[in-house]
Order: sequence, then C-alpha cells, then structure tokens
Amino acid sequence: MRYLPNGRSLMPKPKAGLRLSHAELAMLDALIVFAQEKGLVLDDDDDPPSGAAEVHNARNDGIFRLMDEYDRTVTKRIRELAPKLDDASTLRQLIDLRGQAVRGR
Amino acid sequence: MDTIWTGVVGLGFLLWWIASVINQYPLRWWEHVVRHDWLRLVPSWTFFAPRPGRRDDHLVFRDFEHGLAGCWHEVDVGEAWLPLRWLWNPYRFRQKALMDLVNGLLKTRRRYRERQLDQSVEQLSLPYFGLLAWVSSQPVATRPCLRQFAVVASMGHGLDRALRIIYVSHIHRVPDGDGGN
Repeated sequence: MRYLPNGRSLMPKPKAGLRLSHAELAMLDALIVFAQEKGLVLDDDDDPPSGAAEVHNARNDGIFRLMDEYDRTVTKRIRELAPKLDDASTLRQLIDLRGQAVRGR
Repeated sequence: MDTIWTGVVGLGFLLWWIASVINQYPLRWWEHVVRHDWLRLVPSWTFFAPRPGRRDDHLVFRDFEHGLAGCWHEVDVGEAWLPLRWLWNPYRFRQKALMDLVNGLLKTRRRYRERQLDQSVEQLSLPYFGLLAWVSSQPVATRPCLRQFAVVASMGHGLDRALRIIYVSHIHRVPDGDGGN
C-alpha cells in the first residue's frame, strides 16, 4: 500500500514514544479495508527498509545469504506445495510443509 | 622475479579495490558475484546511503472469535529510556529481530514475485515463520483461536506521524497447547 490519500490528516494524535496508540490501532482496520477496496497492493517496493545499513550488511551476512540460497533451492518444491496450504494453518503445519519441500529437493 | 611478484600483488590489490568500489552499489548482477566472497574480503561502507531508513516497524495481531475479528494489539518490543538509550538498551535485540524479520519477509515477497510464485507460499518462508511464532507466543484469551498479524510502518513523530500497512498475514490457528496441532 502506498501512502494513503489524506492519511496524515486522518491520523489521530499519537502518544509520545514509538508504540502505536489505541486510536492508531483502531484505525488499522479502516486502513486495510480502504487499501483492499481500492485494490492497492500491500508492500514496500519503493520504500527503503528501516535500518538500511543493517540490511546492507545483511547482504554480506552468512545467515541471510544462506537463507536466500536455501529458498532458491527449494523454490520448485515450495511451488508444488502451494495447493496444500489450507486456510488457518498452524505454525507447525507450515513448518512440516516446508520440511517436505526441503527433504524433497 | 621480484617484479613479477610485485605485479601479481599489485594486480590483486587493484582487483580488490575495484571489487570494493563496485560493492558500494546495489547491483543485482554483482550480488551473484559477491556471493562467492566466502572470506568476506569485500567491504561495504555505504551504511545509510543512498536511502536511509525512515520508518519504524510495528508488529500487530488480532484474534478471531466466532468469526468476528477482535481489536489489533501491538507486540511489545520494548522501548528504552531515550536519554540512556545510547548506553543501555536491552530492547535493542528484540527491535533488531523485528527489523530483520520484516525486511526478510519483504525481500522474500519480492523474490517470490520475481519467480512467479503464488503469494500464499510466503507462509513457508523463514521470516514468516519467525513472525508467526512471535505473535503465536503472545497471550491468547481462549484457545484454540484464529490469529492474524500485520506489519505497520510509522513515519515521523507526534502529530506528523503517518501509518502504512506494509504486510497483512494469512489467518492461522493458534493451537490448544504449545506447538500442538
């Protein structure tokens, strides 16, 4: 979702600090519904991620690199498992499915 | 002989310097090359350039009971006292974890989209597992329940703070008991 039209003017006054206020939390539904009704995609394609330096460092970080490599190797199997993804899966079911993808690569 | 060795070493340093310069730019083709830098010899000094992060991420979740969605709650990652944050910030670990998981999830989404994978398979990515595990461990009023999480980015402070929804998850069952089905 891009910046919502008039989003700033709709924002209630937040409390001091980083945490979202109750009013802001209450507005999330409206923001999501608005985005979905307008067919807006929820993503960040044109937004720099927070902690850009850390992301950049992560590019050289072994864990992130391994994760990406690993995902690449199991992509084909993951694609085949897509139909098995039920609504309301539990975390354990998802982990088991990924386990199948990894074992079957 | 010395001249040859001097030339070889010089060439090595020259290639290293060229690689270091290229590594300062986010070039996709270069990522495939630098991936093989197992000794981490090629540095990256760009830090916050060229586009610094301007958002704070918030992980929120809500439960569904009897088909009705409840209120959104924010996962507490802590907030250090500002004057002492530079010295004592034990919450930094959780904040960094959230930052890495969110960035990892968004990166996964882009990669999967490039590979033309169905959006639903994001659920099988490791960052998604991390975020789902985090929200699943939050207190639940009644078990089992259905839970959904979202990532909200805030930009600015005070009256100027604006919100963006950058991710909304699928709905998941939180099992009755730890880790069960």
